Amino acid sequence: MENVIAERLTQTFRSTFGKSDIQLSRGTTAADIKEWDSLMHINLIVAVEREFRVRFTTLEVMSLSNVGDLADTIARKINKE
Amino acid sequence: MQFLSFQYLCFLAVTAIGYRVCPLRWRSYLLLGTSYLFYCTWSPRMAVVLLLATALCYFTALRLQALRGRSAASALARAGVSALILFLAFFKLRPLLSSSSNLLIPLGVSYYTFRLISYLVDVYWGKYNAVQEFVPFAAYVAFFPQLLAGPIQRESSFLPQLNRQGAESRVLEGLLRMALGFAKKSIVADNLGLFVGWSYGHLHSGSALPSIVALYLFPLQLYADFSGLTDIAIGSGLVLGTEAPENFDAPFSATSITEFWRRWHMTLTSWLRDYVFMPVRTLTRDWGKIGLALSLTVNMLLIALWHGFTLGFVVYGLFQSLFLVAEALTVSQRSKYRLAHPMSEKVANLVGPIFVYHVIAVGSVFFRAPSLVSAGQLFANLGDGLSRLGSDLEALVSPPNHHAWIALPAYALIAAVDVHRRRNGFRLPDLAPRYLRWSVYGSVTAMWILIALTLLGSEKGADPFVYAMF
Repeated sequence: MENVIAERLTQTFRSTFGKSDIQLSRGTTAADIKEWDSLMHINLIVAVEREFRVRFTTLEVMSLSNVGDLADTIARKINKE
Repeated sequence: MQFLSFQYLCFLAVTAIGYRVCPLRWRSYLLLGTSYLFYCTWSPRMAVVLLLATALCYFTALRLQALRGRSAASALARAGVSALILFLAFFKLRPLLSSSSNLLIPLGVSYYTFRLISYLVDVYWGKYNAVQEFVPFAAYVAFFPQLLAGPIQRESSFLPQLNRQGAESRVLEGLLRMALGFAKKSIVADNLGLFVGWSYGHLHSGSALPSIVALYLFPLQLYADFSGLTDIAIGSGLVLGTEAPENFDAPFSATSITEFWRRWHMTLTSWLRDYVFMPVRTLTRDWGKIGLALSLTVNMLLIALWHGFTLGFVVYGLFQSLFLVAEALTVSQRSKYRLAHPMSEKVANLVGPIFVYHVIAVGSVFFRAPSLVSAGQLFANLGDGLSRLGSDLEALVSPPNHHAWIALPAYALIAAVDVHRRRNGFRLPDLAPRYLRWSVYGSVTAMWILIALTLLGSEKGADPFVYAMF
């Protein structure tokens, strides 16, 4: 993950889930964060979209498997703009 | 061929022996052949329908993978999924639109269509690659233990198991799991079904007892019936050497309706979460609380309508979604309250399951009652009082229901065995001494000889599984 994206992403995760001790890696998935359920997932996507000023398509959201995928999609969208 | 039959036990035993003696690369051929043989005992014509649907999805997925990243992939995925939904809707709606009572509905059509839809969508989303070989894919779709009523296993967790050695160690576990399923079905569900059936037949008696019995016992009957069916399906898979996802996780211990639906028919609810709720919620993410309420209601209505297109199931779905929406909209407030009042957590753990059971029991009336009028009658009778309790109870336990009370102590015993199974599994400890090992093998063999003889001597056979009709 690019450092800047990783840092901002970690902050977004911490504020969305209300946990200051979250540490992310490329392989982090919903199974690693107890509060990360299907309802919170959409809150997270909305928070990430606001933080990075991007808009994901439904296909992009549904194709995400882990935090690494999320960071790559963000990087791709930022570089496109 | 019924699960609860001597023929099925023989069929499973022969398949399990064949599965072990044949080389790894032939396993999928064996499973495909035996699964279609199983299917043909119901209807050879519908086996052809299954084969055609499987072939169509196999080739569509290969094409989807080739088109990945191009706009044509989206159009093809939509066409493929729409075709499958229309296919399922055709068979589900046909009985409503036709007056004929001899309409054939493909066995397990909901379950294999769901497997095919998730496979196509996963390939389109790029989560998995399309399966290159047709035979293993077709064996996955038609896998006979899961054909009747699931669990809905994803292709990614099933296919790798066909190439795995070491299946022998699961036979004991599978036989015990199947025995648990047989006990749930034939001792608990069928006997509770006698009480529930009697109660629905006596709603006009002017007493509250039939309503109370029907209200409180039907959820237990449904659970014992469906989880028993799942136990037999999972156990059959283990006897063969394949593992399946769980479908139930002590649903009546849930402290909220949201938690209940995470513990009940888990492979269907997780399937709908992944392929209905998440896409709908993603599309409606800018609509705030309305989007959340809409996504939950659509999801729950689909779960309800999957059981049947009746007004009763619409009410069933809307009733459950009321609670799901209320719980989802108050998550943060409830969480804050729990943090501020630590005792409330303990109270919720005690009171929650009682509340959940009542909500599920009230909702289940719309599931079981033959009509909305009958459901209304049941609720109205609750106010009739119990002045004739003695004579009503006598009527309730008179023949043919006189032995049905056995279901209640049996349920308690089976629930305790199930708790042990969830915690420790049905495996023998690795270091178990030889005498213990052989006494367990001996007991399980004796138990299965008894079950087989009972099935062989049974004239009537068990009642059909409630969930086998969906």
